[in-house]
Amino acid sequence: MNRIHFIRSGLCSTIQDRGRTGFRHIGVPSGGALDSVSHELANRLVGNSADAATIEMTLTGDEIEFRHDTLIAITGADMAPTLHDSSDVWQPVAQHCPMVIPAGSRIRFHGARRGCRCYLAIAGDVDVPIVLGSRSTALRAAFGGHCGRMLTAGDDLAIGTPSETGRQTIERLSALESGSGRPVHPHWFVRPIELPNPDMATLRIVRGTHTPWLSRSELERLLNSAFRMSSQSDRMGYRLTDQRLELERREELLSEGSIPGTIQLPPDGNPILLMADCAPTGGYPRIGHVITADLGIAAQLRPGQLVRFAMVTLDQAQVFFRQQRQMLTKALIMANLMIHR
Amino acid sequence: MTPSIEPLGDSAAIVAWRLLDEAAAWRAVQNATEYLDHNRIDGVIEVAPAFTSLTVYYDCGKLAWSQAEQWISDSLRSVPITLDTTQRQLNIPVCYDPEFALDLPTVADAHDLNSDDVVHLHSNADYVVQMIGFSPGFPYLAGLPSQLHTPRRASPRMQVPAGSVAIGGEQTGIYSCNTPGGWNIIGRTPVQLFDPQRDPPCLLRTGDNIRFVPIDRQQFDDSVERI
Repeated sequence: MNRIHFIRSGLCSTIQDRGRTGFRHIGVPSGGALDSVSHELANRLVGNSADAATIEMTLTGDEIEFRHDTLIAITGADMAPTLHDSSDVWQPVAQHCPMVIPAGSRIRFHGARRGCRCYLAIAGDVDVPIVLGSRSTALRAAFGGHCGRMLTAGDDLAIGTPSETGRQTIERLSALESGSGRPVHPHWFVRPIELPNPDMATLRIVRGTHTPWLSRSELERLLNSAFRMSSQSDRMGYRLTDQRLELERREELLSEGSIPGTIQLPPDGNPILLMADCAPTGGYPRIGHVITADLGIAAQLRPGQLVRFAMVTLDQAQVFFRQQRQMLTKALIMANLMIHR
Repeated sequence: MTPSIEPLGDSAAIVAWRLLDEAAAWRAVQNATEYLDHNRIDGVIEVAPAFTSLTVYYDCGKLAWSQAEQWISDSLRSVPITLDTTQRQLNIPVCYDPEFALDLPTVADAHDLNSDDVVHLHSNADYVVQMIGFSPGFPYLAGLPSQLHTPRRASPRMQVPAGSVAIGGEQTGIYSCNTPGGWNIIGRTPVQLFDPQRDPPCLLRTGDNIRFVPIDRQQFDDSVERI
């Protein structure tokens, strides 16, 4: 069986898939890859199913050794990955395309030059147990993924058998340049969604139940000022600073449902943007929700950077999501044609 | 009484019984959650109850808001009024030893009681699991005697050990995982509330009747060993 070995680990590397459903009634977060578009793209480029898991790296990446020739794809944040052979001669690694890594070599992921979260998919999928219907690592409750925790130096992960599509891709790529000992990749890449502007990102939002609790001028401030991603930002949520918003009403609320994308306003006035590992319920007023189509962009925001919000209607938000799905499907069809033409 | 149906972002809806009193709303939520969850259509992912509202999560690639809303309002008309006969009675052992009960003196002082009074009051009340949330398996319990209502701590602890029994405002609850938390900790149970390897993973169900049974330190240590 194929295995990969972690020589060094990044800031927060976890195994993630599409997340869990059906357990929110007992307080279990949905979890899953924060940038689900990059995650799915990586999986599909190596012929994995939509349910397969990837390795999600945050801000700084891992160094991983490959025991056998392995088909992989790297998407999302640009961590300037380099490939090192046994004598540590290195070369840059292609991203956003399928690629065969020669046995015995290592990929070193560096600090993210752009974006925040990088996804590594491996043909055949990461072989970790399914817990509550998913392979996603639930960090807070410490289950799922690899031992319910972040990946660390010394970890060794078993890799399953590539799918038929994966095998065909390996054959096609190997025909390009066989036996050279170099990574084999095509001369194209697919990137259906751009990484956010590192100076000023924009996230589209829809109204929340308590948006009317903002006065007209406070609502204008929500939509016309820049918020800063604080360093207190993780897979559960991002704390946003630089602007304090005030509500016209102050009421203790009973906990109600939350979803990733929800923008809560706690009493201190600094909004919190909830991400995939958020609790399924929360008791703070909800002043808006980042639309599902922009959660992948939110996943790529970096601590310290600025972000602003633009209001769209619910209908628009749902149309944007369907358009994004179509864009991803088209990109994958193109990639497939390029590999198997 | 018809509840309100509001969007929660672009891929969920909150159904809230805002005009009913809390107890009636809570019963309506339990009934409707069960019915909606059993009659999900393609595109509806899951239905989860809160206190006086429930949340329907749907795939906005498959259902537009108008379709989701239509399904919810149609389904709500068919929710049968069920008499709940499935309520269980569970006894949860709690060790109120000072080593675990970090905030027992604070709670006692706040109400001019001594620690024994707090333990006596807390373990002689009947509680109902109103909701499970915050972290996997964390039960929010109603029924805390008013003499023990205590505001949350001004600054939350960074780490509360799993099993900690605590008071937050008018509610009591049990931390099911090691998490940050702002409730006042008055004891610890050796019972494991959440175990992803167990089926079902969550020990308690919404609607369960709970009593806390005091145990001493020796009994606590013995039961931890057994588990």
